[in-house]
Amino acid sequence: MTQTGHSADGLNQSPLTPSKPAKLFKAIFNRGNFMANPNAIPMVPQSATQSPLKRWLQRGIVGAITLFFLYIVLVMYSQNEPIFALVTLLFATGFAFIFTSERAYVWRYVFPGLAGMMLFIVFPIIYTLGISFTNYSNLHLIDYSQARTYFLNQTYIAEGGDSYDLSLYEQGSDYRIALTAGSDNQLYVSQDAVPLINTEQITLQMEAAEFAPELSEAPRTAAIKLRGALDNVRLELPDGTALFKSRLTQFAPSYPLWEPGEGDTLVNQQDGTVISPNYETGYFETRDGTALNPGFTVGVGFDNFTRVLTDRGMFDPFLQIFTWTMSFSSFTVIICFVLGLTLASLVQWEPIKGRTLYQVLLILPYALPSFISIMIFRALFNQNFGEINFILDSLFGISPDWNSNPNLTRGMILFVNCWLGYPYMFILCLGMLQSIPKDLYEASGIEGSGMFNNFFRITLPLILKPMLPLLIAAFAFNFNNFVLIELLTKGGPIMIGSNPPAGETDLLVNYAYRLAFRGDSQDFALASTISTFIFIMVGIIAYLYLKVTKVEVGRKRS
Amino acid sequence: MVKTKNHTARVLGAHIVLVAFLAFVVYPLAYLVSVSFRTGHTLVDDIVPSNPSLEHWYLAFEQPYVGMNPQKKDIDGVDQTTFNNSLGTVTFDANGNWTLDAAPEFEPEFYPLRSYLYIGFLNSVGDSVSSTEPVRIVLDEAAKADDYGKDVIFVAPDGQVSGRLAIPDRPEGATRTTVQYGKAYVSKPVFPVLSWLMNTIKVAGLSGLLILLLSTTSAYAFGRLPFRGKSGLLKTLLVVQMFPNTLFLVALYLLFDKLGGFVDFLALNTHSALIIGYMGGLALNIFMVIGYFDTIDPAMEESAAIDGATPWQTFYKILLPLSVPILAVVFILSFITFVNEFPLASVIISDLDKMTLAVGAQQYIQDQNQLWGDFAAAAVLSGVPITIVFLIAQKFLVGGLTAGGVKG
Repeated sequence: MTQTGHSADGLNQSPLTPSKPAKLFKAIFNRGNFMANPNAIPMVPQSATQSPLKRWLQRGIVGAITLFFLYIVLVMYSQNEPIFALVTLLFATGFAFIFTSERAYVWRYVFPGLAGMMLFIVFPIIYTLGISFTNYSNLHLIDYSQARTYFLNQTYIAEGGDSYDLSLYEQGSDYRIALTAGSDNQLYVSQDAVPLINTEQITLQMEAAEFAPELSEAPRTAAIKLRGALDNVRLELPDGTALFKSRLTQFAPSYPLWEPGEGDTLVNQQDGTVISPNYETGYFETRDGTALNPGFTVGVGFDNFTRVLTDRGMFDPFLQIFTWTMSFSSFTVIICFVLGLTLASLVQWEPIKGRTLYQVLLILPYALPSFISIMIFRALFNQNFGEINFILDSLFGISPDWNSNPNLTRGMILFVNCWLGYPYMFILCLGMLQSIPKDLYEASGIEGSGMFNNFFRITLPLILKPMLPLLIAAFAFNFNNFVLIELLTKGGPIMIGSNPPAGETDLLVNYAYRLAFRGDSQDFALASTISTFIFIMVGIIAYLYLKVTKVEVGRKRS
Repeated sequence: MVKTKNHTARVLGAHIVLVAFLAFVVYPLAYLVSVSFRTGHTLVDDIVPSNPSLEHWYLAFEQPYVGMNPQKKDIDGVDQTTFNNSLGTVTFDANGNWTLDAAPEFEPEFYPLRSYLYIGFLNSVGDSVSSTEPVRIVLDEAAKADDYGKDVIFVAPDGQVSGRLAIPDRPEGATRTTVQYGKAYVSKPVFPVLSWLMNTIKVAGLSGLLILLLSTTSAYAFGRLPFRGKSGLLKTLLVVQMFPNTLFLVALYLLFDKLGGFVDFLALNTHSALIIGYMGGLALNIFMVIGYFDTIDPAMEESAAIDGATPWQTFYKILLPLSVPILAVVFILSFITFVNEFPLASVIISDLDKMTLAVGAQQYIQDQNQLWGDFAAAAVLSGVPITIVFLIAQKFLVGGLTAGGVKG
């Protein structure tokens, strides 16, 4: 590729001898690391053999991308997101350094991948941990200053102030609004005609007028028919006064409901109530402790964790779900492994004809997208119309309730998951069985050993050791098998006595999802707390995984 | 090995076990195909549909389907009866004379509309005892009259046809005489299945390519280039890849919500955000590629380096061409993973026509309205290509999976 460029660098150099800096670099580098890692190839910095044109092209591209990131930093900063801006700035700096400096050459290969993983795994994990120490939920979605602004933006209509009588004029199917001031009979007419079907607030500009518009006036009943829409109309007089509907056919000026009081309190202008923010509960509260919506997000320390571990409405379901999650993943892994190994032993047994066909058909469940196969089983196990109950009913006269009996539902889930999961184990076992030397079996055959003896004395011990890390990984996967439960049962049936509601067949991860996205409370903080418990579990599994796998690279595995 | 009598029995036994197990594996798939050809959304029927219909397949291909619903009217002791079969109004009298005044309910784009008429005798339970040969009626634009044979009665949208149905004597066992007719209906596609399929291929394909690019370069650095902190970083990757994104969906949602405010292509409800979000699943693939690189003798790369090749050149021109099998495995496995991915896609994408198949397919089965037939047709349509790709590639995959890791 750059061979020509290389020789253009110096005509006296043959292609076999790299340029001086490259030599130097090699000399330094090889002494340190080359011996330690026999697979490592000698390092040559790219620029050493690159033509100046290419080098400048590369710098140009890196510069352009860096500029783009800097632009994003500016956007973030201007939108009042200093933390995002700072992180992006660090990222842009790292990017520019790694792609221009020769010392950081190796990092060019890993930087994009690592950055992606930092952003989409590590950062969300840390963020989730953070949320679990707050009260972030449907009732506490906004932060303190946003909540305060919300209150300060509220308005009320004063009794006995100026009032304006309303009349409506039809313009096609739209309406123009006219107001007559109670004090001086001044007439105001809206600039535009509107259909008055709005469900959100709209603002109309009013103009002083001498005569009513030359349109037919709507009957007085129209004000009743359109009262819903008129409630959401804000009329603005030429002097800027904002008017809201005060009676059926009357508009009146509105005033801010809350004014800042002493310290961080707010004073109600209508009845004099004083509210102050409570940073423990995350609400604005009156003196006697009544909380006003909306609340705001505050840190609550370990409250969520204490709640999960002590509140009976949560701890009992949590414990039950945890037990079910553990047994679900263990049973799945064991059953799938046994099934996979048995089938693999059968299929790779030489006297069997048509082994390839068997093999292809046996991995069909793995090939079919799982969102389809899970739904098929949902149909097959349907309580009233499902094929399985139809067969059971005609054979044995029974019709098990797969959807409402918790134990039957769990049985069904295990059955479906084994159907989905055995092909993976089958594929793995097939590969490993092929690597067991045949002469072991021949030797044992000569000694008169039988089929079962062979299996338990030769096959199983030889296969179990290399399979162990993969079995642990499969356990971890099933521990968080969200999609299966979500598509098959949605966690149902609901556990009696659980508050907030929990499902009998929820895995921990489905329980967290239910807390965050189902039901009214949308308790993101509680969901994050459950997620934190799962992080700990996954951490333990990962530790075990590391123990049984030797992470070694750069050495040839023969 | 010595063959015994026992041996033959064992082979036979193994075959029986395998075939029995395969029946259990294949049945659900056959069932899915069967449901897609059934009339209506019924789950109870024979595995070969008793009343097959292509309606669900028309809808899966986003075509409107013109069909007929069977209807009946009792004519015992009735002088005259009228009914509407959506082609127009039919007047039927006790002698078997009928007249159809065409007044089609549907637009010309759905022509031809079809219907039929016959006399059916029912027993007290409502089961058919016997019936006469049906008269078939077709309604189409007048210009197309010659396209239809003598076996059907043609009627133009503003025309009128009439005829006579012979009413035979009531057979034994029958208690009711009915006139049976087909009421034409048009069902229009509700869901953009083909767009979903295109979205899925686009998202999964691009994500797979990006994963391929990032995982091979990273694996090259980890496997071949020396740098500080490598082993620690590898262990971190191994731990990190065990955390599925389902655990921090809330955080991901909020993250994209924020990022979307700064850069358009990371906004919620865009495919690009979904693709970028999928890059979190990179670590597993890095390990697979490292595992494969380890089996390649570095001697060639070393000699290339001695000849003055840069690390990028050795990677691009020597290592990559030697690693084609693992590249195929990584691409196919990530492609399949992303086709199947449900949680992140369901959180990020909310527009019906931007959905991927995994999310879209769930739209058929709501609590109140379960369109199993439409689901089955869409599922077969989308599942078959993916399954075929998988089965073709399975030889590669067997080796790749054993070398590398787990299905994510």
